[in-house]
Amino acid sequence: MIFLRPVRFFAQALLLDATPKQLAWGFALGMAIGLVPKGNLIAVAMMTLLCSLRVNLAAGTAAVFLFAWIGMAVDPVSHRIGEFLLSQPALQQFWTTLYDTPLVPWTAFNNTVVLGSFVLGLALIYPAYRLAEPIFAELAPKWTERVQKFRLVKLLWGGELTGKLA
Amino acid sequence: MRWKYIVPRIVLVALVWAFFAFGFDPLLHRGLITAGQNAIGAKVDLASFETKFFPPSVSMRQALLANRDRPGTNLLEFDSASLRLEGAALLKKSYIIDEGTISGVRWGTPRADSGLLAETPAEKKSREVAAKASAERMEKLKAEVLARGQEYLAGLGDRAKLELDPDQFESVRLGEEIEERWTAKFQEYDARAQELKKQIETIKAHIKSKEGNTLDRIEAYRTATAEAARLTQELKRLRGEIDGLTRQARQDLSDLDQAKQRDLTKIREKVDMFRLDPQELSEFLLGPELHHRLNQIIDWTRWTKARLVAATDDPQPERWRGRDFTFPRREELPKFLVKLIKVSGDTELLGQPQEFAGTVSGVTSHPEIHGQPVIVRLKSEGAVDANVKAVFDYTNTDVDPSHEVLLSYRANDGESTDLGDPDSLAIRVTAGQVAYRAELKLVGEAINGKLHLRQTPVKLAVRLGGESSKIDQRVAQVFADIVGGIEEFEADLDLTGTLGDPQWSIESNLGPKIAEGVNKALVKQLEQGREALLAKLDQAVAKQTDKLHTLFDEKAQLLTARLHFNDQEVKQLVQQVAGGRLPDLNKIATKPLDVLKKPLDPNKPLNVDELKKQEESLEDDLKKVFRR
Repeated sequence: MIFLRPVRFFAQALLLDATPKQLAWGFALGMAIGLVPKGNLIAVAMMTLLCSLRVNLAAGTAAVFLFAWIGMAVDPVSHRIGEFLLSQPALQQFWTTLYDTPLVPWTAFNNTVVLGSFVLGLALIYPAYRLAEPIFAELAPKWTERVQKFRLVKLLWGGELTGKLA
Repeated sequence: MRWKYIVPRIVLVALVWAFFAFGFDPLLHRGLITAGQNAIGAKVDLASFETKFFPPSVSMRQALLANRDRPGTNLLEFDSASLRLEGAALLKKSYIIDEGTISGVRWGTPRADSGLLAETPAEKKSREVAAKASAERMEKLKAEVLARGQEYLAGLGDRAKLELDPDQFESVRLGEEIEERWTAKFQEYDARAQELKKQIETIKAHIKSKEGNTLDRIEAYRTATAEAARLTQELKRLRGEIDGLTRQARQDLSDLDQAKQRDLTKIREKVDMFRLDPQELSEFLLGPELHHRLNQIIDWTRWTKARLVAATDDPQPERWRGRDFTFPRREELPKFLVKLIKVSGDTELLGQPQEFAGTVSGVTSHPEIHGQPVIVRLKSEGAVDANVKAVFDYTNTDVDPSHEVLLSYRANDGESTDLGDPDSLAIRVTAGQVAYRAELKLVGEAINGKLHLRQTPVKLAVRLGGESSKIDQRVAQVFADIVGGIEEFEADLDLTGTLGDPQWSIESNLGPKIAEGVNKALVKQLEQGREALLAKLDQAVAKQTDKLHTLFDEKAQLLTARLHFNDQEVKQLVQQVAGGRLPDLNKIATKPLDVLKKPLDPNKPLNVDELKKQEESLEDDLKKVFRR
């Protein structure tokens, strides 16, 4: 059973920090990351943030995948937001400075969809948290109960841990 | 609890590290191959690709870029490439290759597969059509030059024909035609004269016949008198036509003389055509070879231009999301720039393997930001000393980009070159030392260039083929002697026009030297040939004219005599029938004879008194006529 320990640790990490608040924050952060197109430093930084904070990674990762698809449908809105911000005369100096700062161009902030979706994601994090928290409070115990019944979970967790989860 | 927090984070960091350690290079490797294949439209093989972050650099090994236009060959290949990127620029998302080396560069090498990417039938057809059009365009000019040369060199063979075939002369043909026409006409008149004679004989026989009663006899006389009158008219008309024929004959002879004059002019022109034109001869001999050399440079320039345009075009990918804003920087940076790459490799020059080395600089996606043109310098030393310098300037967006290529080489032992066309006149040049220089400038579509080729000392060997091989052996020997005596060979090609329709002219010492020598050597022979030909034509036409005169005189005399005889016969006939009183007889006899000839009506009684009265009246009239 010693071979299962690392896997167990990883699985625990995904499912630990599983209070409704942590689940809701994981979900909200994952949503923001999912909306942003990948392949730039903004997405990488946000993923790092998700991993660094004590939020539920499983909820966060699931939200990333879910909102990566939803994000494509929201692209026109993100594009308009990004275009509006990037073309604001008052912000030109700020953008110019950013653009000429090393490493920042890799964030692709000068792309309308990247900036727009990033801003949209930031704006939606707290509302998403507020909406998700009661739902997770309601559903989390039921899910835990169901998950415990799976053989694989029993095998990974062992009797002691399943007892803790319960 | 602490481990349970740390371990998953460590795992994620490890995953990121694993991606950069094991996944990043293969991903870039695949991306580079795909981008390369999209750019050249053919297979790109790259054996290995590695990146380093500190300092940022890229290294590649065994790259093969297939040639889409020549399946089975590589456009370019290299053994290894090592490129160092500028770190500060990379942090600003700008790929600037500070310095690099590419070694083992070769081009035009064969490959195991075709090198073509999977194509739809439509794409395949489009590629084949484009390749065919390109090949046809290449061959068209060459074919034009050769055809023009063959046309006038065909004069060598034509000259023999000029001497032997009299049918080519208009006057000879016209003389034969006139003879045929006259013979046919005289035969026709003769037949008509014979027919008249036959008719006269028939009438005479009818008169002499004792058949029938008196009235029938009178009717026969009357018919004979009418026929005699008709024959007289016919003879008169025939004489008139013969007179007309005499006028036509004079016109025919005049036409014959004019045709002869035209033939004489033609002979002079034909003989003049045989004189070799130095310029045409130069173009014929050197056109294909220089055109081939020129096309190689044009093709490379065209290819490079297309790649540079593609590099600076920077189109957005189809699936790109949003729009990128650009903001001014303190120091503007192009998205991609090759500051300097050292290149080395090997190629084949004048049939000899040759190593070369050089540099490439200024290749960029944003030439207007970089402000310097693309410069390629290649140098090769050894059996062949060669230099290539290419400058492609895209820095000023307000004017058309300019492309300048300078290629020069010098070799001490040049390979043999075949000039001209084996099917008419070919010259094999074996040179001791070869010096070649080509300059080409392309601005937009306008092209301008010069090619200079100098070979010294040279050994030239002439070979006549096709129609040209039929020339007199003395002429062939003259050619061989003159060409063999040339010790230096120089050629210049001037190029203008556009890339799609280049215009060029050639100057060389070869054409004038050969033409001058051949013309001088052949001038006497040409004059003699011309005089002989003129005399021959003159004689042929004079003989024909004499023949026509004789023919006309003989036939006309014969016909006139025949007509005269017929005329006499008719006169005798008239005398015989009416003793010179034919008109009166005809007039008197008409009315009563008509009454007698009238058919009887069975319903009416025969009026015997009336008949008797008519008979008496007729007898009285006849007595009066003959008494008179």
